[in-house]
Amino acid sequence: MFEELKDIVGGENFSDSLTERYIYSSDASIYQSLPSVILRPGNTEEVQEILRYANKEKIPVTPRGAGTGEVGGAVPIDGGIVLDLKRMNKIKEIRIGDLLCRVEPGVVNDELNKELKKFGFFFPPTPGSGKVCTIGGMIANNASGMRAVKYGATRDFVLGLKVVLPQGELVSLGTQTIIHSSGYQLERLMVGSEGTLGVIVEATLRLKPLPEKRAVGRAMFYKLEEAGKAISAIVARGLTPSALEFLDEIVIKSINAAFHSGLPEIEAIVLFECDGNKVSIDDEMDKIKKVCQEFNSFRIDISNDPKEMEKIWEARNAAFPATSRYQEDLARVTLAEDVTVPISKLSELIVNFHRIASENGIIICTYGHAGEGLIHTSFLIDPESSQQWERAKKAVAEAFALTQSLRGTTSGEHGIGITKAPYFKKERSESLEMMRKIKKALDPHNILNPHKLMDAPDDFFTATQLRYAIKE
Amino acid sequence: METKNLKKWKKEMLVCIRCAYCLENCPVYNQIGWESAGARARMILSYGLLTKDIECSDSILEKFFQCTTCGQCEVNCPAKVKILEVVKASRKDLVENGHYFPPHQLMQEAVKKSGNVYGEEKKEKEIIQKSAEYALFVGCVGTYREEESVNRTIKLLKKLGVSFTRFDELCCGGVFPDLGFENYQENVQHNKEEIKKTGAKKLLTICPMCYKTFKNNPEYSDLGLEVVHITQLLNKLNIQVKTEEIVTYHDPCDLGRHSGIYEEPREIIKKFAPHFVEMEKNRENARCCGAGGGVRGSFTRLSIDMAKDRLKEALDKKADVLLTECFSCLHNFKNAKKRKQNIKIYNISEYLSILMEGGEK
Ligand SMILES: Cc1cc2nc3c(=O)[nH]c(=O)nc-3n(C[C@H](O)[C@H](O)[C@H](O)COP(=O)(O)OP(=O)(O)OC[C@H]3O[C@@H](n4cnc5c(N)ncnc54)[C@H](O)[C@@H]3O)c2cc1C
Ligand code: SF4
Ligand code: SF4
Repeated sequence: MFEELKDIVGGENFSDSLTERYIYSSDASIYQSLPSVILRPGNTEEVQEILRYANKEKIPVTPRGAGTGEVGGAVPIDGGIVLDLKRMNKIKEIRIGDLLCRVEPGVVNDELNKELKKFGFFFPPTPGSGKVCTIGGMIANNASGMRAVKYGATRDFVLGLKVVLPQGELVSLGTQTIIHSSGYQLERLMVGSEGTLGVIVEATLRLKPLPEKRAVGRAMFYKLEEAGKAISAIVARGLTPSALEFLDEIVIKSINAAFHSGLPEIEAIVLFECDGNKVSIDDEMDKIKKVCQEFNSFRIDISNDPKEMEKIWEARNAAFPATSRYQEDLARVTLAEDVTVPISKLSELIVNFHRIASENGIIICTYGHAGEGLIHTSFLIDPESSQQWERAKKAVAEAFALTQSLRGTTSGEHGIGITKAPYFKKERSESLEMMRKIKKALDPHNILNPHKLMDAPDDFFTATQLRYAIKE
Repeated sequence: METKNLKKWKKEMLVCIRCAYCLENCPVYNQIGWESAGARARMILSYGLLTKDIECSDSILEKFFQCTTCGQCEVNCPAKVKILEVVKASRKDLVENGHYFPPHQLMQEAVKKSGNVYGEEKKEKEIIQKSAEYALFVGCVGTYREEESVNRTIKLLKKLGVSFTRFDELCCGGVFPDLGFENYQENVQHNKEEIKKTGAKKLLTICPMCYKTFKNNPEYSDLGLEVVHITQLLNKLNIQVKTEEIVTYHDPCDLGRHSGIYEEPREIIKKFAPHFVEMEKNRENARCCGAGGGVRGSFTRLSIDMAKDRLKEALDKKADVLLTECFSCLHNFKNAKKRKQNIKIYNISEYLSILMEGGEK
């Protein structure tokens, strides 16, 4: 049955071996589900042919970039074809005069920025996974990173897209201009569509000039609540840091345990960065420092030395992987990873997350893009214990209910996929029908990344197989 | 399949956040392009084997043995997962369950039979002097595949007045834990006794794999003398020659990432080569030559392709000479070099010897 698919991409870009399928059955989420076949198309025509065939034969197709998504977006929940787009990795053109570039979906974020740097420009949304994640995956998830507080998310940089629709038709959406008000902004519809509406085969992205200078600061707080208040005040007073991050005590301890960083084990550390020219940076850094002092930060270090700045950020970047080292019998599982609330509600959210954790007898640590109201929550459990999963499930439900009561949203940057679908459906109950109509219109046979987002199962735990060997 | 070795590393597999940072700069992934060629895949497969979610097959075996154990993935890994320990444990479990590549087993038999990985007749060595500061250990690849290079290095040591002796060495066995096999303990015992007999205070190695083995492998922990790599020794000596050629340096994985020796080779080179250039990927990010981890023996084409890629980096820098200090790297680069490519490839010590003899200025 797959001979025709093999003919499209060639034998070396086709695999139905069990080993290969097993490896492509998971991403950075908690799930695994075997595809029947993996295809690695090299150009738009091949993607079109694959989708035409899949649509005719009603075979599910799951697009995949680097597979770093944390919500199961690239997990083929219904089996079928995994479409690995990493071979389509050409930077087609960089037009500095027009402030844009055109790239294929498999271009890696950092590779693009390496090229742009030669011109003194950059593509700002860089997520923590920027070293390996692809532009296609970033657009499909509307990814963002530490600097979104100043520059915005991926959606703010997508000017135009070429997309292969589920029936194989190629469409150009958006423009190659910095602005447009020419009708529906369909390119934006594709941003955050998580591979359910079309396969992105080319993106026209807006560029920004690299700032002349950066400076980084680190403020220590004995009290978490005071750190939260300082963050709200920084934003409310019109200051515009290019990053504003925070780490809680468990994260700090984890970083120390994993990397011997020697950070003081206090309730909160706030990290901030300003970019621009020297005068403006000095002024902004000074003002942020004063706000932190006002809320009782007992120590503030500021640096513009590249090595030292890197060291300060290293601790922040280590947060995600380090949490699994907090305690020998626990590991991090990706659940409510990126809830986001209005910035003024941040400390309330964090304090209550810790309450939920202790009421349910598990550990949740919090850190993240505070300046955007986004909190990464690491759930630390023994992932092979069914009892601990039961507790985690309860805590997750409570965490999302709390987020919604604070008028927050289920996902700030990682997307919905399978893991967060039940809570997303509650949050967006009024627009689910519209989403389903759009999906039906574009994908009548429901072949493209089926059973994700609004169509995902209502119980994230039983939605598909988990990648852990859970024991009773 | 029984997984008694993997069991010890379960936490590492659970700590792996599946972030795929390990794909960046992985020499095998760069060649093959399928995710299965990188370390994340090996973590997935290891956990699958451990939890009996999958069974061993020829293709799983292939995935585990395509890794050069270069360690680039560990440098990248933000969770500091002990990837190589997991890979080695998987290999050991596979081998113990009867799944291995025939060339690896042949290698082990060869070492038992002839004391070297090639199974070749033992070469007689010139015992240079009885009592000396250093006992020199050359290793299999140098002795049996890069003899000319070894001879030049020995000439250099003599010329520089280094007090050294040679002894009746047998394969150090460093490659076996990487391949999932046990080292042949009689050889270990033999080496220890012979080294002791020399009365030397220090053991001098040229091959970085031998260096790492004598320094770190528990079976040699009672060696009782300091292990020195030749770059550490040469860096302390007075070098008076110069070359006008453009010279670059390739960090062998066993010397750089696995032993942390990055600066000594560069310091030596800078003394005699004012036109030294770094390749784009250097020090802890230096691309692997493709020879390690048993890959050269089992996946020769793949191994050569990796060497070609690294060689290209040297050519991109317009280097006349590519230096390294590892016989395996040296051998693989020479095999990968096309005739029309003019670049010369030597160990540092070998090149220095040539310069001191008045050649290649
Ligand atoms: C260590 C780590 C740190 C992270 N940090 C951040 C962070 O700071 N900010 C953030 O936003 N995210 C972060 N993430 C999540 C993730 O890396 C991002 O969402 C990233 O953009 C996913 O890119 P990818 O290439 O890996 O996509 P994949 O995981 O392969 O796919 C993600 C989704 O996109 C779809 N897709 C992929 N390519 C295409 C295409 N060409 N056309 C249509 N659909 C497509 C897939 O079907 C899937 O639904 C992090 C993840 C990890 C593991
Ligand atoms: S870099 Fe480390 S944590 Fe990330 S996938 Fe590879 S082994 Fe796992
Ligand atoms: S050790 Fe080297 S070859 Fe093996 S997975 Fe890691 S980076 Fe790749």
